[in-house]
Amino acid sequence: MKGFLKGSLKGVVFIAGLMVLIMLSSMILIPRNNREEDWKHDVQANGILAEPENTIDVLFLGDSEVYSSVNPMRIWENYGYTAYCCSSSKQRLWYTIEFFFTALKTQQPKIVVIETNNIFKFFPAEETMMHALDLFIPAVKYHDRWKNFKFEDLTKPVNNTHIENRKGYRLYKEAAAADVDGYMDENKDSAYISLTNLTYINIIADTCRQNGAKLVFLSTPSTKNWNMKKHNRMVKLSEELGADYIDMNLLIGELGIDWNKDTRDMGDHMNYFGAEKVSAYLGKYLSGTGILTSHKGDPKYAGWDKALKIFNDDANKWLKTLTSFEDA
Amino acid sequence: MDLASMFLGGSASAMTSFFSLTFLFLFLPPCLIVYAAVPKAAKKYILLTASLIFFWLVSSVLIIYLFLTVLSVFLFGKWLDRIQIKMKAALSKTEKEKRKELKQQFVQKQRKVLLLAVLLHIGLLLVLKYSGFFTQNVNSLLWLMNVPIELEIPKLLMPLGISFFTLQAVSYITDVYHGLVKADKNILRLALFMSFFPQIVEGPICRYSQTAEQLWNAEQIRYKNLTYGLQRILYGMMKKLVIADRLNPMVKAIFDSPNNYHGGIIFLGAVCYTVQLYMDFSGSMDAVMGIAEIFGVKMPENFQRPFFSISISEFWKRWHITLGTWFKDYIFYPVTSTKKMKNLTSNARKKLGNHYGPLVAGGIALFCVWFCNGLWHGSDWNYIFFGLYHFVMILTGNMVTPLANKFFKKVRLDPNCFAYKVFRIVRTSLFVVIGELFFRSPGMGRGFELFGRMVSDFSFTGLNNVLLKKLSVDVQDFIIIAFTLAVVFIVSVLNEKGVCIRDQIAKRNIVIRWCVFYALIMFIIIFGAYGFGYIPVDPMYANF
Repeated sequence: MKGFLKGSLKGVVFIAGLMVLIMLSSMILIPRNNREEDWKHDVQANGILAEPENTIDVLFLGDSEVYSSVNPMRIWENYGYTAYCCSSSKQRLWYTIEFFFTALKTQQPKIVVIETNNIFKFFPAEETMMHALDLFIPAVKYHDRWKNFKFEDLTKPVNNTHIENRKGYRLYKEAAAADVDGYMDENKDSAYISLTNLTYINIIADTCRQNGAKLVFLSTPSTKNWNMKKHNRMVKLSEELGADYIDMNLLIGELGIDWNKDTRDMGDHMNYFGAEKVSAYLGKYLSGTGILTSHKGDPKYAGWDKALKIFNDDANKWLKTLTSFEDA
Repeated sequence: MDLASMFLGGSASAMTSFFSLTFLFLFLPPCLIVYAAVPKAAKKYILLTASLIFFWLVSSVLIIYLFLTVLSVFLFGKWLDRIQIKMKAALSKTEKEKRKELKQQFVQKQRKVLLLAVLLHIGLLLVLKYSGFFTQNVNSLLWLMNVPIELEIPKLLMPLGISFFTLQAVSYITDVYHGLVKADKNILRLALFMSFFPQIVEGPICRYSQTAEQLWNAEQIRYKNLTYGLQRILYGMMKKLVIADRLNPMVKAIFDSPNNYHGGIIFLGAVCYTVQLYMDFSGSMDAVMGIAEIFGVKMPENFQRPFFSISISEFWKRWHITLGTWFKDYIFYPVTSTKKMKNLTSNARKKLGNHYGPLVAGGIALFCVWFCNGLWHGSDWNYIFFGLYHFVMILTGNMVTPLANKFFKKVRLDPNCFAYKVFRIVRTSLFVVIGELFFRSPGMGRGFELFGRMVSDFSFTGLNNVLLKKLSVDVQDFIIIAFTLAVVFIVSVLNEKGVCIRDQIAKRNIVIRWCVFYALIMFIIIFGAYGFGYIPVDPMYANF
């Protein structure tokens, strides 16, 4: 018994020592800024870290469907609402929830919009565990930062200064026509959402409720990723959670989506032109909720006007190079 | 999704890596806790249950293959045993002069049983692993002969570790036949020997006499076993995560599109692949040995510093040792000990002398060994070529040795001097790298194409930061790989000199011991190639 106690105590002290070392290395390795050169991952989405406190009205979460389809600049230009796309490529729900809580540390969005594509993406327990380690041990998440570590970082505090002018949106110029055969054909069945994913969604929904934020589910147009089975399941889930649900795949005509010109990769994602249509619809929807007020003219949001100008200049410069619409 | 996959949220395939979080945090700790908590008599059943659960989680319903193999091996063993008992009884009742004839009858009977058992198990392996390859080649032949028939290529699901447990099954039956081990009367002990979870993925290929009893008499976890085992697991993890997985993107980029690179870069890719394979496989073996050690089981070593070998022949005595000895014991010796081969040897000895004479029969046996070795590694011609390449290398080495010795004597050069030894080590490593180039190539034709480019266009032109970025590596990656390889090299040199590093660590005070652990863990956490930006690499030998 004495030996067992001694052994157990040794084990506890060893683990405590290891924890201290891990904490110290986490403090050293954590990126000091939210820029790519500081080894921050997904800098477009993490641009939200540098946005002034409580300045974001709408938070968009999800995978590449979001950053390809939702252009916060257009929403700002037409309605004066501030939106941010915390989206990343192949974003799993464990990452979605991480972005959600990261955003809540500095922002109080009135509306939280979750793109539904990744709700149906299954991910193994291995990924969940890796994410848990990433979340609690920055030394694991940013372990590769030794490659650009500088000794002055030791005394530098974390200071996120990099503001993303496009607010998480990514402009895609390419166009590749989609095959719409069988797209959104009638089907009475419902798709399956894993228990883990449902748990994550419920956590987001509960937190939105506690924070007084409106939860909205959004399915952006995608012939490759969306179908009626997923739609049916989302209708049921949104009813259960008392959330709004916008399925743009059933509003193709209303949005004016042209599957020959508005997708960058044969129906998988929207391109610039598709995003313009999606964002126009979203602006109208957000305005219709009556929750948001325009910040146009507010000096606190002057940065948004500057960002809009930069975005429009870039976009117009490119648009002028197109001899005809077909060039897109 | 099947039940086994659901149990781990689809992570079951990750279990094949002993360094996956699923294995390290979800599977191994409960096994150790339950194993430590139950009384000694129940420990073997815990090991068996854990092994079957492990197999089921990875292979799901294909566990039926394991059950059938265990059952079949058990019954064949008993059958052989019964014949041996009957033979003993009959011989004791028979007159001396008739005994030889009677014994021959029983031996014939035993041979038939052994043949049936071997055909059944190897046949199943051949069908599952090679029917696609065979059909593909038949189709190619039919196409060449202008026969308008195309056979459908079968796609059969293979259970985890079938190449490994089938060889264990055959070795057990053969050892029972030879009377080296007694047929096991306990099917559960046999099942544990066949399915012990650390060894089922990549080996080592154990003999019944090596591990069956150890596993069945499983001991309480001891402090020394625990710390030694953990140290070995961490050392293996360092080899796999810091070196092998860090090299993977570069190796993949070069072998996926070799047309983009000069011969020098392809050579670099082949060297890196050889290092990757060694670090991946030996790292996984360290984990296997470490896990087994925690349970108090000593498994046969699969590696003995192969890159210190001075010849290809020696290399294969140090690389994947258990496979090599299996081929030696169950193919080489049986072939050379047949009557025809013995006659051939004695005739050849008369004509060619004592050195070259035995090489004739030995060469035939060696050919069988290396043909099987190549085929065992995979169902493609490049694997067969890989085997035959080593056959030629070893046979040539055997033939040239006396001439080389004569030459050294004449020029008064000491073949054991350090410089020459280093030259031989480098030369052997170079031959190994060339073999691995074919091994990694997608098909034999591609292998020759790569080899041709490597020889005809040997240049490192364009090897700059831009190219490194294209290969998904940078200078820092090479620095950390070089540092870690230096650590592995120092450990290997010490091991070669008979120094047991773990014994040395154990002699130090607790501060130094813990510092070693901490350093190793932190080194892996910080310099391991995992997480964001890296694709997890499955254990490379699990596919064979």
